[in-house]
Amino acid sequence: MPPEPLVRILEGLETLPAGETLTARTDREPCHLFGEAAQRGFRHQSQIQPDGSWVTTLTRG
Amino acid sequence: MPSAAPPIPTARIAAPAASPSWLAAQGRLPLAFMGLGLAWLVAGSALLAANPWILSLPQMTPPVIALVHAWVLGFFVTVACGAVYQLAPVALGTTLASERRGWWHFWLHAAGVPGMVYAFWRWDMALLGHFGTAVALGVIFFADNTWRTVLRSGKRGPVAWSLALAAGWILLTVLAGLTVAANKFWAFIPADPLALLRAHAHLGIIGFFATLLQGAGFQLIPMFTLAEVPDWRPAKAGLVLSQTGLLGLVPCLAVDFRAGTVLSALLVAAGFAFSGYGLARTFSTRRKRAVDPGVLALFLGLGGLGAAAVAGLALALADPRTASGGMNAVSYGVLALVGGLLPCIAGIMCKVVPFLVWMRAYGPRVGRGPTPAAASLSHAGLEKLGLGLMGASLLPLLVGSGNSSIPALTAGAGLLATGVFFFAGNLLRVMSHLWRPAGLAPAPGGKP
Repeated sequence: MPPEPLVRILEGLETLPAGETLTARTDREPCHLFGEAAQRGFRHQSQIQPDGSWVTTLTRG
Repeated sequence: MPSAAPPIPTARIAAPAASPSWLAAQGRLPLAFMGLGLAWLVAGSALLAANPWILSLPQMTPPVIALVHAWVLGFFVTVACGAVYQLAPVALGTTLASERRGWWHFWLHAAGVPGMVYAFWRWDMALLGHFGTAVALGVIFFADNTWRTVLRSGKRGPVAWSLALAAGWILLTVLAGLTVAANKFWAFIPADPLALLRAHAHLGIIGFFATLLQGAGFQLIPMFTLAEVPDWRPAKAGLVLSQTGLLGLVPCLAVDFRAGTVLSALLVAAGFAFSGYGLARTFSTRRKRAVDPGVLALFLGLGGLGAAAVAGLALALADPRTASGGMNAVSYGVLALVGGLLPCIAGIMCKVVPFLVWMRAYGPRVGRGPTPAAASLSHAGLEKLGLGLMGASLLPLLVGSGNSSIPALTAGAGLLATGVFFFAGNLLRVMSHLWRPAGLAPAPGGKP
């Protein structure tokens, strides 16, 4: 249930080792994630998939 | 939202981290509008509870106009603008064009609307002009901000169109309202004031609120229920038909051209039917099967707006001078506002306010320590009771306004005020997390 995906992704980012990438698949564009992740020092790339879901990759930058 | 709010564990760790948080910053402006709207809901229901006889008066009397503006400009418009400031960036995948202009809008609206309501009550057109100008300036900021946000997003779907169109219609409505008020002062438009008032009211209700719901509804319902929009064609057709109908309806109402009014009202009603069909199909794809009170209220409100469209059509077919057809204009207004807009807006508040508060109060802590679920900030029992009592007030208010029955109006206004008491109590409880965020025990092995 929203914002559970947001919580889980941000939890993952907090423990992400340097140099590693976190990939998340969500059922819709995680709009609220991008700004917060950037504020915490992460770069992101997000792309819609043929089935309508979104795959977002985040790296510390 | 769960059926019962689980208790939030008592404080064991410090308040949210002081580090800057994008999430926390996002909720400020919409929350300010939601808080102001909530204050107006309490004030509007208290005004009606103290003076239920107002709804037995003809529509063109100062207390009726003051009460309607307390509810519409004070509560409905304030909350809807806050929702747009929250929804537009999310729906359009961009940031708000200018938060600073949003705050200008907030302060102008907060200062202008109480003055307008007071001026209407005292029927002081000069004072109304001053405060109305402040509100209009705020709405100019709002419309400009919304248009710039839509333009920079590059999106042109029904949601984007509805946001842009609704912003345009609210601006036109406020400017038309100022013109109608100025006409009372200087009488430069040779038209029936009642006809102008009807045109102004329909411009606002259909132009701003219905347009917004016909587009933004296709963003909100999937968000609230984890659904998908299976087909955008009904949404597009609904918007095109109702916009076309509105373009005819407003001038026809203003000049009292009945055939044109009926034809235009039919187009608006057809637009509502398409949008309702599209929303129902979207809702049927939901993965969250349980329907929580906020979503139920939103759907009941949409049904109420549909019923109001049918009632409006019936009024247009009847002779407006005799108000035949067994219903008068005040009852029609009660149906549209209390039966339609109130559950829609209250339902949206039930969903949006806890999320905004959660972002603001717990955004800095997300991922760094335990946070309560956004839905758990709300108390389901208070929410249901509040929404239920507000809904139960519709029938006595309709009967009372239709028959000028003071006992029925007193009962309806009392039910409404009691419902608002519980509804506002729940939202204040949610908002209390802004000042007293719950501390949570760290999860085993988790970071404090």
